[in-house]
Amino acid sequence: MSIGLLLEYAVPTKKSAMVPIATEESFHKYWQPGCAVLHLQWVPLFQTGLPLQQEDISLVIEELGLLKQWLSCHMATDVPQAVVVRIDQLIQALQNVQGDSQVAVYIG
Amino acid sequence: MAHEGAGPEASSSSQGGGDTKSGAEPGSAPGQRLRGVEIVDTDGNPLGEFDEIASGTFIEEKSAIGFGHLHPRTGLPVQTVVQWAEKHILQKTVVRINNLQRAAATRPAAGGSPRVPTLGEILEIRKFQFKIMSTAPEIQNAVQAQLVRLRARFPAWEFSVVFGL
Repeated sequence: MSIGLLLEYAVPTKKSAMVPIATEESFHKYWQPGCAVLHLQWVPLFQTGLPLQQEDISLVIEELGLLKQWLSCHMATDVPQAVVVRIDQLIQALQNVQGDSQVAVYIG
Repeated sequence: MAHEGAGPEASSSSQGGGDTKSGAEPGSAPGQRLRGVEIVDTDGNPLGEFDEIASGTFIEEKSAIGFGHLHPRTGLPVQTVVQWAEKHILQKTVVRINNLQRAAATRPAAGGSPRVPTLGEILEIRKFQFKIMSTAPEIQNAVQAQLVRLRARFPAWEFSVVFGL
């Protein structure tokens, strides 16, 4: 499955948006090993999908920061820069909707 | 493996038009499988990506397993099968198809095939197939219900599903 951040706005003038995160293959290959080593709780759930409440967003961002750091340490062993860029884009997109009660946030 | 819920719909899943003339397969050469295709906007920002494009069809792989996961904060089940299907089959596909109209270019996703179809090639595609690992009847029912909604929303597109892959 290609995993993405889905943003759906209560305001009719704003269209739903999706920020791509990873293909199924990429998530298995690059994200999941780090999730296992770091014992992350939120990021592994991206695969099946989960709705995020506002109070969850900072916790997810925190885990993404840890994963990014771990991946950056393993870049020499085959992690494409594009994977780290995707994490940065996801963190940025989540930060952009923090505090916005008009948006429903779903990752999956 | 079960196509379209293993029912009679399996052999009549084509909905609407969209087939290219003279049997040509847009987006990929016959028999060619291109994995990890990303679409981007005019600024190079990713708008979406496709797990695979093969035989003129967008292919979306979904495991649809692990529904027993509990929410880390609430300790409650994260979502029901019906909620999952509505998000993954209907809503994400709607956004994906709509985003195709906003795309300015294609490029390989991380770990994807080095050669990707051009934007013009993928804009000709009107077929979308879901490959779902699970064969659970409740998943099949939930997916089929969302396919009905997709077909109503995009009558020019052909949506199909294969379970058990």
